[in-house]
Parts: sequence; structure tokens; C-alpha cells
Amino acid sequence: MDVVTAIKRLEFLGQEFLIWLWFMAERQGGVIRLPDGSVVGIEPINVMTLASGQGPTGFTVACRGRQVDSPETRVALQQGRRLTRAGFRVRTDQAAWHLTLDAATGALTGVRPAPDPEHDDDSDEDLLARLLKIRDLAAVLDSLLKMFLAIRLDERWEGEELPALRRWIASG
Amino acid sequence: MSLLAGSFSLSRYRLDQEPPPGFFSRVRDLVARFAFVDIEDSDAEASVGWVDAADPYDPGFGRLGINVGPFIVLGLRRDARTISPAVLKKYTELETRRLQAERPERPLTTHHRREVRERTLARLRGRLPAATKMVHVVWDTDTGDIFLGAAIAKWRQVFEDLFINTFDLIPILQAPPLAAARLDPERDLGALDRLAPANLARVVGDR
Repeated sequence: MDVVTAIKRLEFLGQEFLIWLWFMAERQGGVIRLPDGSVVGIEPINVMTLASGQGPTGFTVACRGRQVDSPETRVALQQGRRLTRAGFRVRTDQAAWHLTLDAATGALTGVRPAPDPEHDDDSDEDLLARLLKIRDLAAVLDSLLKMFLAIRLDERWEGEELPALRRWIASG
Repeated sequence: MSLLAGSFSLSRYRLDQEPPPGFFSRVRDLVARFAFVDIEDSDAEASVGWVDAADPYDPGFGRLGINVGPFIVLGLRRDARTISPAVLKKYTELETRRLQAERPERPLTTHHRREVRERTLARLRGRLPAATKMVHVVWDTDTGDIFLGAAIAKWRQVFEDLFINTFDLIPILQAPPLAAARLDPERDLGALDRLAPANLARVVGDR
């Protein structure tokens, strides 16, 4: 299969990943244990973009602040809107970040250190330390995607995870 | 926004193949061949090249260099002169009228008008300073990740073109489907292609 075609055809995987992250963050109280035993803090923050339709006929709705966790947001998901961008606060062993994740490209925008009592103020950190933290963030996002993929491709998806996800969306 | 300090955007890439043996010892020379070339003294529309990540005006990599631990750190600089269509239209029209006034008996042909437009564009570019923009590129030689400090398609295209020209290697954007295939090698894109989007709306019966 042509790579470009595959990316376009499988764009829904990134959208489902964002919804699953949001769902997991709420279901597990903002803490997700990765397969290697480490713990990651995940909280949805005040940016989400929902899209309807495709191409020029589609439109997008950006939700900010309290709108993000409003019933209307989940109703929009029930109505078939796609989550194309979502903001999260991600806390790893090494640092805490605010970021917005794009479902189509996997790109991050608005990445900035988040205030975190568990980590020192590192505004004067050296460049190597900063790059190692960015590497750590990339690895954590890979681990979360791998977790999602393991469930998405497993029988548990249809039997357990998807029904739970639907109930969570409906409960909004 | 910057990968080196403060807030930033990030697009993730990986190579489509392993670099050849000894590749990383040649990186500095390869980068130097595509170091940024200034266009201040020309009427070129744009220029793209590598600079020191800590100094966009240093194509000699004298400030930070290119190696920070296991990371190769580069500045990707693009200078461009952008003439707005309205400005180009105005000065092309004025020049066309001037030329027509010199030869009122012979209307300018389409070919002449096109030449006037091109000359006008070059003249305007020569009068306009080029605007400089820079984003960072960080290549993690331990993990193979390549981070581009931008998330917009235009910068991605600029980066991909320059990277391929410089290193003769192809960087692949790690969109979720490709990242998924990489993270789970037992399931390639063909296996993922059998997936269908989940219906998130249905609750009754859960199926």
C-alpha cells in the first residue's frame, strides 16, 4: 500500500488515539501506568478542535477553557464529529509539559514546560538537559500510542474498551 | 518559538533507512555544503540553508557548533522577499504605461507585458530587504528521531527538501499510522489497513 494513501486512509487512528487519551485520563484519574512500569500524568487542558465532514465541505469547531469538558463536546463526538487536535498536560519522570497534539500529523504545538511541584524550576537548564527532556516526552508519547494500538488491535477493543468509551462519551 | 528555549512546536521524523557506515563523521562537511547563502546583494526571491542553531546569522557554526551530546543541532534558515500581488500589479501597470507612452503607435504584446512584469518583479525584489526566519532541527543519533521545530506544512516541505539535498536520506513524517507501524513491527501498514473507524456513537447493545 502506498504510504501517502495509507496515512490518509488511517487518519482516524490519530483521532481515536486523542479520544482514548482523554478517556483514559478521566477514567484513571489522570494517571496512566506504562508497560515498562513508569507512570505518566495526563490531563486534558483547554484546547480541542472538532471537525465535521471532509475537505471543503467540512468545518471545525475549536473549544477552549471550560467548553472542553462540557456536555456539548461529548455530544459532538456522539454526533460523529472527529477530534482533530487536543491539548494535554503531560507529566513524566523528568518534566511536565503543556502541549497540543495534532491527530493527522502527530505534530505538537504550543509545547511549554508546565508548572510542577515535583520538578525544579529549570529555566536555566542547559541545552543537553532540555533535549533529553524532549526525547523523554517523545518516548512517552510513543509508549501511549503503543498502548492504544495494543488495545485497538486486540479483541479487548470490541469487547471491553470500545463499549466503555461509548458509555463515557454518552455520559457527558 | 524554539526547540532550544521557551515554548515550541514539533514535527517528528525518522529516516526511511539506516544511514550508511561512517555517515555521522561526515555530517559537518555535508551540512557545510548546504550552509545558508545570503541574498542581500541579489534579487533572488528566497534562500534556504543551514546555520548555527544559536545564531541565525552564522553559517559557519562558530557559536554552538552542531553536536550537543548525542544530538545534531542545526538552524534551518529561510530568507524570503515577498512582494504582494497588489504592489506588483501597481508597479507593472506604471511601467507598462511608461513604455507604451514611448511607442504609442505599437501596442505592447502579451510577451512584452510578461517581460515587463518579470523585470518589475526583479526590480522590486532588489529594493526589498529579505525577511529572515529560522527553525531548529534536532537529530537524536541515539534513537533515530529527527525533530523539526515547526508544525506547519510549509516549513515541513522546506525541511524535507533541504534534508534530502544535504544528506541524500529521506526523512519520513511520523504521522500516527506510520508511528504505529514502527512501534509494532509485527503489524505493518497493510495489517493496520484492515482497521475501520470505530463507531463511537452507538451505546445500546454496545456492538
